Amino acid sequence: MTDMTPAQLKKRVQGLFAAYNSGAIFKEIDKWYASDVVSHTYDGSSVRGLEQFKKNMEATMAAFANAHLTLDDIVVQGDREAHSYSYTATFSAPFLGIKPTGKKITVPGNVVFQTWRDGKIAEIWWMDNAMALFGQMGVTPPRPK
Amino acid sequence: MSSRDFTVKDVKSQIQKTFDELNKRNLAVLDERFSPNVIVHSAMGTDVRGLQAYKESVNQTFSTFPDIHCTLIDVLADEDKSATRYTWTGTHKGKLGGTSGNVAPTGKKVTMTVYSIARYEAGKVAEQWTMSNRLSFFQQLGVTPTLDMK
Repeated sequence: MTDMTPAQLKKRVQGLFAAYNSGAIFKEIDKWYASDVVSHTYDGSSVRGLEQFKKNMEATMAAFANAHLTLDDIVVQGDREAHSYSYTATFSAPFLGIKPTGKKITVPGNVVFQTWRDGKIAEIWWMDNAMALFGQMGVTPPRPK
Repeated sequence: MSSRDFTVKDVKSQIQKTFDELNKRNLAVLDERFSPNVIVHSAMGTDVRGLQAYKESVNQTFSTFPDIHCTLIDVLADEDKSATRYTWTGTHKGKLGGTSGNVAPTGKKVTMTVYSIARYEAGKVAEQWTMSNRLSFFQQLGVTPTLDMK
């Protein structure tokens, strides 16, 4: 069960985007993500707990300066939602061992499924548009480990 | 059928049926789920317009990966949209074309994860956006991806 209506959950997701775009997310991350948040990538790897999630998020946001996220579409069902988003950013600090190119990137077509609990994000499944990202970064993607 | 008749349960069973039938290579099942004028957007910035063209692209995938098998993982639905996560596994036996460039059969088995969002009109999918781990696809095949985005 959720404590939010679909309209409220949509508004909460819009608020999350605003927090990323204003940079407020760095200060108020514990308002948005549960302390035991679990974040899954499409390849089956997972990050558990807010501390590690925060470290990864900060490293990503540092690599992609001036990031601006746009919510493109959202589907809400109970306490779960899926949304697609696009972002623009400047590749300005090392990322996955790749030297920054200073290029401006525009990456559409990222999709995230999220489960909310007590007004916070408890579980996340990511599908980032890595093809577009590396293409726009102007680098050859790293080989899989 | 108005959007009010459209329930989460209906959507889930319809999507599960689509997967079950596609796993049996029954392309006709797509007639039940997709509008004749459906637009399918891919993460590569290319669009497939119309159910006939979409069927042809699915059929092409069947030729390229003859043993392809899809597994539905998760469905969310609201009044006029659905979001789906699924995986597919298949062996690369036929030529890859289109946005994948020209890649000769590698004989390699790949597993893909796909997230998609669909918008419904009168109970059928009018528009669908599909996102997959395309970079991993090329890595699994062991070929250099084409990174040019349209």
